[in-house]
Amino acid sequence: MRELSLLLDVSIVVVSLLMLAVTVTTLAFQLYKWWRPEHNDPQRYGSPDEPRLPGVILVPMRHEEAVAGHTLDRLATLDHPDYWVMPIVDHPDDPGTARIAHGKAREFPGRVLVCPYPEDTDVHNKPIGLNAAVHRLTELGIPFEWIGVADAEDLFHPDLLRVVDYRFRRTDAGIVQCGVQLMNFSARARDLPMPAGRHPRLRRWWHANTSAWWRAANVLEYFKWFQSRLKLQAVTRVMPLGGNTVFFRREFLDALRQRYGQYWDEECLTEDCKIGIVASVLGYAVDVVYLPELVTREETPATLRGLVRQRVRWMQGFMQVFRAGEWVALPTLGQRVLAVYVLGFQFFQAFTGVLAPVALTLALWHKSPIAVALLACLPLGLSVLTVALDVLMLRVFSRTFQVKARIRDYLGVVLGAYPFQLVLCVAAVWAVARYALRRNDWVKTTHHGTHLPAPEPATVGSTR
Amino acid sequence: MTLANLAPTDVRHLLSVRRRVLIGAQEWLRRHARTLALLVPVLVATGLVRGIGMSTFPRYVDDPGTYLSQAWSLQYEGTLSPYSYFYDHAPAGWIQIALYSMLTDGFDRHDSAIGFGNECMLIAGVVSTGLVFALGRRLGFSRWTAALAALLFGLSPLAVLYGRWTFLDNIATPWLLAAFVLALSRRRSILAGTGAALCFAMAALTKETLLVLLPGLLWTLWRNTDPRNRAQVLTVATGAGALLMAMYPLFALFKGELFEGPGHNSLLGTAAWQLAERQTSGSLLTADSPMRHLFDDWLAQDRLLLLGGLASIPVAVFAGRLRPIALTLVTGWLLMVRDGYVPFMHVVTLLPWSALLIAGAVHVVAGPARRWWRVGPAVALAVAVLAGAAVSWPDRLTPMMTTKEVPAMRAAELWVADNVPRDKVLVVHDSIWVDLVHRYRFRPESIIVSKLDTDPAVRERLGRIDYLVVPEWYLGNPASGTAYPTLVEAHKHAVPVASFGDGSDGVRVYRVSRYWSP
Repeated sequence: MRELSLLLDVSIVVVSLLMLAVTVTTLAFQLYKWWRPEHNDPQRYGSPDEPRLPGVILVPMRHEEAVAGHTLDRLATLDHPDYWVMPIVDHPDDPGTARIAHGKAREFPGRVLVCPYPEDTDVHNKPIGLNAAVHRLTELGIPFEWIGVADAEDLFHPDLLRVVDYRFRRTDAGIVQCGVQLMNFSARARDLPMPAGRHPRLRRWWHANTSAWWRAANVLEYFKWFQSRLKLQAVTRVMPLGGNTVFFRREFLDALRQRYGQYWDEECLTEDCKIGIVASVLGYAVDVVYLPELVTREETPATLRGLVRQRVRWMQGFMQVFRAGEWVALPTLGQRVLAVYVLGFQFFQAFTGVLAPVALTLALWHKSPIAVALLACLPLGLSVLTVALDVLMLRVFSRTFQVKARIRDYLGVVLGAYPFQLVLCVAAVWAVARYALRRNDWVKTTHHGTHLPAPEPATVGSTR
Repeated sequence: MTLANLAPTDVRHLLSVRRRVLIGAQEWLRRHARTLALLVPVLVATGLVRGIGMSTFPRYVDDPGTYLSQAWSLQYEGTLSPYSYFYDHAPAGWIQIALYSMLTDGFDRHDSAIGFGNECMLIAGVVSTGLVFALGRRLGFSRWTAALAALLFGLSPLAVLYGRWTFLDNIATPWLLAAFVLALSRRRSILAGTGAALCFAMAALTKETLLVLLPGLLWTLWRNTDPRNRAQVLTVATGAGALLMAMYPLFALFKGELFEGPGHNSLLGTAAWQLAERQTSGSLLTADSPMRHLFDDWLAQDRLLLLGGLASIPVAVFAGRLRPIALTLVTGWLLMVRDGYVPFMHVVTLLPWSALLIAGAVHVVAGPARRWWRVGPAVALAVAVLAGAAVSWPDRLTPMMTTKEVPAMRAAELWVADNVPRDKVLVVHDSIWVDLVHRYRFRPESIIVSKLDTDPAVRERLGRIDYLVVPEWYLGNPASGTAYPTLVEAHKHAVPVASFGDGSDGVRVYRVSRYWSP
C-alpha cells in the first residue's frame, strides 16, 4: 500500500513537471509576438515597392459552387501586374465548379487558367492537384518566380501580392507564409446564415450561442498561431506551414523536385506541414507575414464535429510527418528537439489542459505531501493565466479587426477553455486510433461561406 | 556555403565550446571593464567592512536565532519550524537559508549557527550592494553616481549594523532590488517583466510586509514597458507573480490552516493579529513613543543615509524615473508615522532607497547634458556627502570591526556546553538553541524561551526545567510576568551559577531547583 502511494506521488510529480514544461513553452510560443516591443513593430515588414516577379496562384477546388465564383473574381483582380490564377477542378466529378471556373477564365483572359485534376487516379487530395498544376504550368511554358496556394473560400487582400513580391525580393526566404485568420467568433446570431426548416430564427440563435465558445477558441488559436507561434518557428527554422496563403519561390520548388521527385507529398495528410519541415532541411528560410489588414479571412468549421475531424486530420498528418523522419536531417540538435516538440505539440497541449485539474485533485484526495500538491497547482495556475491571456487576445482581436466582442463572447472564452481542451483531447485520441488502424483517408472540412459578404448566393445562381 | 560568406556569428560555431566561452568571457570583461573597475572596489570594501568582526558584533537578538532554528528544522527535520509553525512570517527566507546550508553544509561548517547566519547576511549584503549599483545604472545614473549609491548603502554604519543580523528583511532586499532592476530592463521583454514579478514574489514570500512596496514596482513596470507589448507583459508578469505568491496561502489551505478555527494555527488568524491587535509602536511624530526611541537609535548609528534620503525625496520631481523609487521610500516613512506596529528592523527597508535617492540628487544636479556648470555643483554635492560620511562613519564602524569581546550569550553558550550534562532540560534564548541541539546534542531538546508559554505542544511535554539561559531583559522587564509566566516562576526557584556581561544584555545561567516542576 505504501509503495502504491509513493508510486502515485512520484507519478503526480512527473506528470506535473511535464505539464509545467508544456504550459510554459506553450505560453512562450503563443506570446512570441510580444516577447519584445520590436516583435510587434508596425513597420517591421517594410513598405512594399512596385511588384516585379511573375507568379501563379493555385486554387484547388472541389464541390465549391457556393464560393468558387466569388473567390475567383477576387483573386483575378489583385494588385499585381504579372500573375496567373489557376483553379484546379476535377471536371467529370465536379461539373458545377468546373462550369464556374471556366466562366471566370473567359471573363478574365490572361489572368485565370483552369487546370484539370488528373483523371488517372481515384484518390482526391490537395497535393495531387497542386503537383498536376505545376506540371501544367511548365508544359504551357508560363513564366513564374513564385507559386501561391489559396483555398477555394480564400479572399486574398488586393494588396497581398505586392507584399509577397516585396518580401521575396527583400529576404532570401524560400517560402513566404502570410497570415490566415478565422473571423466568426461572435455569439451574435445575425452573423450566421439562416438555417432551413422550422423556427429558423430560434435555431440560428441557439446555434450561435451554443457554438460561440469553441468558435472563439478556434479563432484565437489562429490569431496566436500566425502572429506568434509560426513566427518563432520561422526564426528557429522548424516550420510546419499553414495550408494556404503560402507562397513558394520557384527555386525552392525545383530543389524539392530534385530531391523527392515531386513537389508536394501526395501520400501525406498535411502536406503543408511536411513541406515546411523539408524547407528547413534544405536550408530555406520561411518568412511569416501577419499584417492584420492583409490576412486571408476564413471561417471556422461549420460544426464542432467538423472541427474535430479537421483536428484529427492535422494530428494524423503530423504523426505521418514525424514517422517519415525528415526532421532527423535538420542541422542542429536544438532544431530536432523542437521538431519533435512541434510535431507532438498538439497532443501534449491537449492532454496538459485536461490533466492539470486531475493531477491536483488526485494529489489532494490522496493526501500527497504538501510540496507535491503545490507542484500540481502550478500547471493549473498557468492554465488560468493562459485563459486570462485569451481574454486579452480577444480584446486585441476585436480592436485589430474592429469587430465587437461582447461580454458573452468573453464568457465563452473563459467557460469554454476547458471543454475546448477536452475536444482537442478527443481529436488526439481519435487521430491515434485512426493512425493505428491505418486509415489515412482525407477528412475534409466543409465550409458554409459565412465569412463572405451577403450577396454571395446570388452570384453563384447567376453563373449557373 | 563557403567560409567567405559566413556571418561573424556563424564562425563561432566552428570553434570548440571552451574557446567560445573564453572569447565570450573576454568580450564581456572588455565591455564592462570600466564598470568593474568602479564596482569591484566598492563590493570588496563592503565585504570587508561587513565581514570583519561580524562574529563578535553586534550583540545577539531574538530573531536571527528563530529563523536559524527554523532553517535548521527544515534541513534536519523536514518541517518549517521545530515548534508548530504559526504563520508569523512567510517561510521563503529560512527556506533559502536551509537550501544554502544543504548545499554547503552550513550548520556544520561554523562553530555556531549565528556564525552561519552572519555568512548568509554577508552574501546578501554584498549582492544587495551590487544590485543598488545596477539599479542606479538602470535609473540612468552615471557609473560614478551609481557607485556613490552603492557605497552609501554598502558602508553606512546603520546598514552594516542591521545588515549583520540574520533578519528576513536582509534576505528579501536583494530580491526586491532585483525586481526593480528587471522592471527597468532595457529590452522591455515579457521575460524581464515576469522576472521582476517573480523576484518581487520571492521578496514578499521572504518578508510579507514588503507587499506594501508593490505600488512602486508596478509604477516602475508601467513606466518602463512599451505600448507595443505592455498589456501582455503586465498580464504575464501579474499572473506569474501571483501564482508564486499564491503558494503560501495554498500551503496553508492544503494543511487546513488557512482559516481560523479551534485547535490549530491559521494564516488568516495570525495575519489579523499582526495587522490589528499587535501592540502599536506609536507614531514617529509623537515624542517619547517607542517608535521615536527606535528612530533615535537609528539616527545614533547614522544620520547621513537616513536623513539624506528623506531630504532627497523632492528631487524625484525633476526625474521621472526616480519617482517610483521616491514613492517606495515615502511608503517606508509613512509606515513609521501611521501609529501601528513597526518592527525593530524596519530601517532595513528604507536604506537602499535612501542611498539611491541621495545619488539621484547628484544625478539630477548634473543634468542630462553634463554641462560643466551643472557637473561642478554635482561633484561638489557628491564630495560633500562623501566628506560627511568620512567624518562620521569611521567612529561608528571601528568598534564594529575591532570588538574582540565575545557576546555575552555566546559566552554563556560555551559555558553551558562545558558544564551542563547533556540530558538536562534547558530553557534558552533563540540564538543559541540550534547550537545546543545540533552541535552539543542536548537531549531532550532544549526549549526556546518564547515557546514555553505560547506553544501548547511544548506545555504538554514539559515535565521539568533544569537550567535557564536567557538575557536579563527577559526577567528584569515588569511585563515579563504576563508574557513569560512559566519562565518567571522557574526563575523564582532558581539560583544563578554563571554570569556573563552586565546590564539588560547580560546573561546569567540559572540552575532550577530539583524540587520545583512547572
